[in-house]
Amino acid sequence: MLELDPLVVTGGMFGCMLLMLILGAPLTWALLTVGVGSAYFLWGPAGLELLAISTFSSMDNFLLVALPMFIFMGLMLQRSGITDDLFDMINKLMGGTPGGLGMGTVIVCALIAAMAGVSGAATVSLGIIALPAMLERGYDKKLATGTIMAGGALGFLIPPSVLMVIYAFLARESVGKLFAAGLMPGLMLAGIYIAYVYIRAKMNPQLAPPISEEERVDFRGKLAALKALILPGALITTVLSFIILGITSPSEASAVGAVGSIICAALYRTLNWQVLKEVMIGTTKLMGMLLWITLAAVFFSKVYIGLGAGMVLEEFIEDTALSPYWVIVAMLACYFILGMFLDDFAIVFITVPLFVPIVDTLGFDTIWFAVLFIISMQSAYLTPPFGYNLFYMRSVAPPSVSIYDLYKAAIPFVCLQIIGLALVVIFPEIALWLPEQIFGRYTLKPLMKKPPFGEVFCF
Amino acid sequence: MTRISRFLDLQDEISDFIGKAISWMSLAMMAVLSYEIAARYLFNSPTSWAHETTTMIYGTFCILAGVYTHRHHGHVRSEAVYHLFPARGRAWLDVITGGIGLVIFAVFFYVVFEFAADSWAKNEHSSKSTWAPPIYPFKSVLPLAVGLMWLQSLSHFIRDLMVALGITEPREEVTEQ
Repeated sequence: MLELDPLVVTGGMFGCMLLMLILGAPLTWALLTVGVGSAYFLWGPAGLELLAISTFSSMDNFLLVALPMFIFMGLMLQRSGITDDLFDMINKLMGGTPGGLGMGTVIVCALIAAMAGVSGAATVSLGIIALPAMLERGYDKKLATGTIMAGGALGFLIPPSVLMVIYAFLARESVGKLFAAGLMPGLMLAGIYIAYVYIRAKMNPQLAPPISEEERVDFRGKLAALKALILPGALITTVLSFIILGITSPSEASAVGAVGSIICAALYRTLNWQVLKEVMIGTTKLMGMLLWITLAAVFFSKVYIGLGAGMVLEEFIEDTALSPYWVIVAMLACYFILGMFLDDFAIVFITVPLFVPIVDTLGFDTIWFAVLFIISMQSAYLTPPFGYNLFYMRSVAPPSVSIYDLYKAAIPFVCLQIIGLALVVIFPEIALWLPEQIFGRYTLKPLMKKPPFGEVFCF
Repeated sequence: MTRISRFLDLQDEISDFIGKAISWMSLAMMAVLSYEIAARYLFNSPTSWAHETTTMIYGTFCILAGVYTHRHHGHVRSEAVYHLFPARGRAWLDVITGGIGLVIFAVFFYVVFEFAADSWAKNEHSSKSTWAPPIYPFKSVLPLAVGLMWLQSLSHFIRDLMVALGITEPREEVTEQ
């Protein structure tokens, strides 16, 4: 085995991977190529056995069963017509006040986020249903699209969340704790968005006019409209309480949710063979992508850490003598920049094995860091050039809305997300209060504990 | 030439067939886990096999799903620079990365084939639960999936090469989600 300086290994491996990504290779290809190349040249053919072990460990993992189940659930609910029902309810309840539809849209987004683990579901379905409704009532198109895009991005923060399951798998955290930690910050962000829409509508009612008198309903009509909440409410409570209270394992709860989504679709009379097949094949396609990134990233990290290069980043941080909080800020800035060019799944696989041990060594809570990471990923969804929600919105918005309108629409909401992020950095309790209540005393870890670097990623 | 295009069509059909066939496994996972929950809470008799069975279905489902994803170009890539190239330039980039991919998947296939063969030779059984099922059939899915991935990569490689050389037109940009 060749003895190489860890810095050379780090530079070489990440440099080659970035080069391949720039050339347009899928992430899986880039990670596998660099991993196989490095393992072969530094360890010889015997090093390649790691590839089989890494692949099998990503397949033979009960926790990850939750991924296809949550994805299935999200895709099924997106087609179930649940969104139409919820938006209709919002229309009746809040349509009469200025900005009411906008504020209500955020609420519907948060509800969908609590049912679906992926971010595209809310953006696409509300883009189809809520956007035309708001534009028709004379809403400002930037305010309307921005609200839907930002609300749609809540999907990753409000549990269940596919991204959190992957984070839990990589960092060996408890899914229940992560889900509990995401709930309050998610609701806080939703609250911030609602406040923003309210203030904008108060300052200038032209931006978000109320619906016309004829469309409004009386008190009894409003009360009747609330029945739209029954089914989603039951589904959300069941799945979340199963996971957070530990009644079943997250994977089992996800299966319950998936079955629940089928039942919902059946009750809304939207279930048929065509829909079921579309949802199944959609799940297949997404999972194929996710598992292949997982196995490639697990292999890549094992090679990287096995070569002893894992220390580089830690030593670098020690050398620069940055204060711990600045390290966190630097990591978040790094996420923000990566988020402009890479998919969030790519980012989680590349950075978690590198960053989380450092966060841990610095004495910060890794659950708290997970929440910060997820909030940053939401901004990534809204920042050009590669914000997924911008694309989702573009694909469903009427032609009068240009991609530049969407870029401008996203700016105030990205600012709001940064405010939310700063709040969670300054007040970790926002994220940690709920897990503390449920899982017992759960404070920031003491600085003295120093785990061997890289252990986090060895299975 | 016709033989090549027949291979390309056949490969697409195989991948599509696999995708459709395994997509049913998502329902199977739900069924097994629901049964386990019901058995545990309603009848107070948890099973010893449900979790491992689900894990095996999950592993088989996801690794084979990669072939279907690959056939529909669904593997995540960063297109920031890639999209600055014209269609034929992109095809050349795909030929380069696809060619490297073919070598890597060949190595990958060899490694996992040995891995599975080893498991058969040892008559390996799971040590995770008291159920202790044989594990070699599950491990055999690995070489199958990687082999199919190689074939699908070969099919993409030939198509990209033909576009790059100007023999065929670039494929339509599909923006689906």
